Amino acid sequence: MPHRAHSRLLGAAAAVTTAALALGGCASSAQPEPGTRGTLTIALAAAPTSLDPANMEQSTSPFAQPAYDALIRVAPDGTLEPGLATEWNFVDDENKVFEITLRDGVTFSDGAVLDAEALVTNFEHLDTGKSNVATLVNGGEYEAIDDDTVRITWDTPHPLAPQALTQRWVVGMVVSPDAITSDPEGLATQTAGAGPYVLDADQTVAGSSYVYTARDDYWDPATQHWDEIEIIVMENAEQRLNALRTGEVDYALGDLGTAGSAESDGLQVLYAPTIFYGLSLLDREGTLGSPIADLRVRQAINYALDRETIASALLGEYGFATEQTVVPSEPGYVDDLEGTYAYDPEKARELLADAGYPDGFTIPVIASTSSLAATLSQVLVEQLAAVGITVQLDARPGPDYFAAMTGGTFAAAVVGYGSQPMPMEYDGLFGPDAIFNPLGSSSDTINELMAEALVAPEDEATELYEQIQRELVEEAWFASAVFAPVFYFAGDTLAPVSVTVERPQTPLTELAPAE
Amino acid sequence: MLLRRLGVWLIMSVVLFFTISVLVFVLVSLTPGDAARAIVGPTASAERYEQVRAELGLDLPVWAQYGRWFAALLQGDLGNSIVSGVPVTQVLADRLEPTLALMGGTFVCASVLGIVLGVIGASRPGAVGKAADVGSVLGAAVPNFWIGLVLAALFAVQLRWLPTSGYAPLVDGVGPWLQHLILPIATLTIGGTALLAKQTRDAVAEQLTQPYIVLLRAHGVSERRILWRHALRGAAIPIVTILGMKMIGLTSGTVLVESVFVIPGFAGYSVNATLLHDLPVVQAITLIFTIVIIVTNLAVELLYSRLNVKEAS
Repeated sequence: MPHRAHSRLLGAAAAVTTAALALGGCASSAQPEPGTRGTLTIALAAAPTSLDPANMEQSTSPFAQPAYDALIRVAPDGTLEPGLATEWNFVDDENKVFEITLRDGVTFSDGAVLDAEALVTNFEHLDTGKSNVATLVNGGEYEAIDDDTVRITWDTPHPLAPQALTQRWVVGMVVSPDAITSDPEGLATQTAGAGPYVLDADQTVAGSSYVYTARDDYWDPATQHWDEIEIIVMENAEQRLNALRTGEVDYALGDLGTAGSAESDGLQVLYAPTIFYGLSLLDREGTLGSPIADLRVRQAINYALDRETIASALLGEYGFATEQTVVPSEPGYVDDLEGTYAYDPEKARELLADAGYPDGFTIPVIASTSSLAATLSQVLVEQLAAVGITVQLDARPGPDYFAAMTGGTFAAAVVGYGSQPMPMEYDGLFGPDAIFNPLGSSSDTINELMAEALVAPEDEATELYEQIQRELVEEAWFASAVFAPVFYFAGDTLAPVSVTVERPQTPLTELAPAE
Repeated sequence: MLLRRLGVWLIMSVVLFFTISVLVFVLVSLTPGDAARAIVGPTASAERYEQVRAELGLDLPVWAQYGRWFAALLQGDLGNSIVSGVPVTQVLADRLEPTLALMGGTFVCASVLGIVLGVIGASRPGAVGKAADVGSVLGAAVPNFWIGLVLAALFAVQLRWLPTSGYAPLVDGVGPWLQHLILPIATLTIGGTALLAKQTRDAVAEQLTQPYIVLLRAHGVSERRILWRHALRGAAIPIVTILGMKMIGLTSGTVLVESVFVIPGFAGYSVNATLLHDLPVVQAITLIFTIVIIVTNLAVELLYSRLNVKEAS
């Protein structure tokens, strides 16, 4: 009898296994049926809280890209190209009055037509939105001066308006005016854009997977490479890599920890080091009474860092050492500033002694627990300890780190900040009102140079940006260490993908099937 | 007697539900950050953040937020997700199928496998019994997520027999649906079956030493019938207890396994909702799990009563 039970059990197990095998291999994406364009499957780490570009957190913008075209496109080399706008320029000499000419014959997925009024409705919608980057362009007066032309008038200079209106930023994406008027709340979970795809709400499970299907009446059908795009949310980098290995996804967000394996598996490893990691020496004006207020102390911290070793040990080929806040290709980067604080622990100790700290001091530093920041923090602690500075590291996970870092109670913080044009960094990183500058340190020199740069022609502005960067480095506002990348991995189902420092993230709609 | 027990069960259920909902509210409120930060992102200005907080009512004291939620619940309204604005009922409806399939599939597989292995073990003491003991200790000691990772590495990444992750709805076909469920269900089944097998083996083995079994044998009842009919029924109470525990354990196991296999069910989503401080969603998921636990306990109670009556008769 037990024999029979046994054999039944084994029979059942065998049946299940056979069934599983008979079902064939796993569904592989990006292998279209003849005559169709197939499905592009992408794995990203975090879902958006809203699909409405005006309410979207910038880091989740890839979820809007399939459905929403932007006014301006960025080529891989950083040049700006027409998108929904065919022309754009400032019509004054103070970078305050900006005109945009729209493309003819463009419709949205809900049938609405793109015209000047539609764009005005969009900017007004952005003014009431929750997007964290809305300030790049909002707060102006918007006017349709004819069917195809919109004029924006700001109180302050906005020299970066053209860059801000590209698909790199959610503020450049244009939403159907009908949807904005009739059902603005619905835009959180549905799309109504002038892009190549439209969200299929029935197949989408918000927070987990988002399915977009190709539209029939898209204005630029040559760039519509797929019948369907699916974005799956997978938090874990190892899971994303596994799904790429098995062909379940074609393209995925990577990370430093999995880059080596991805490369040895023959995947395309795409990266451009554009995020600077290092210390932000926040208490520059001594608000908290810390030693950081003394320039010599800030310089000593800079001399204490062995950046080249950090870069090669931590990042290898994927990054490089830096003392600045912008990447070499960005206006404002100054070649001869590199090496200002070449590793010199002896000099660091001398400077500390001069500043009245011959035996060093102890300082609390806030840091994030995200993988690269956590590793870097440990190295910084060791290198600063070598010159007598004892760092009490307070490492916390994302949201808590942010609340603490911006709370104004820490004299220094380990930060990671994506290189941006200098005026954006002024607004976000080092200007008196920047969120990364919670103690509000302010330099008259920097403020005046920036005010001048904002209204200057491009080449003069570059020179002024360089002077600002020089000031930041010489006054040691930061102790930058390395530039590290955001990684993307692509399977062999995709045509080669180009990632550059000028455009570190390829718009998802540009991913094309392999020939 | 039974009515009185049911009455106690009902009162305990209400108390349990109320306590859990308060605890979840307080615990989520105590964790750093809030839904407004999740919406505006880390780099938004303080003003924008405060503005969104006020819009969402997050500037109210915790008790006032709880009061609002509870008042709506009494009217049958689970509210909207704070983060996405979508009704919570829809969030759950979208995610119900995968979690039910996973929990149901695991419960059936683990129960059948555990009981069959247990009975076989009891009928053949010695090496098989020892193996069951070792297996149950191992099964209980090895965490589910680790089993999941190993299975995925072997059957999905190496052998490519099954997908590494995801879920295919049943309407898209039984084949893909099964393919996506095999590894997650196997993961949960391996972890829980061994304990059930061991308990079943011990209970059935004990029954086999009872005088009534000797009597049955003397009457010429077949060994198979004695084992699967009489001894197994006699051993039912400890088995039902373990099955109840297994069902309750599945609520937490499913959360982990859905995360490991990226299954879009509501169990795994509770982790995201907690990280996003999306209280209405977290509360609703907790509510469902509380109901699962309460109903399981009721089922166990009812089965006990029935089994006791049978035994007595």
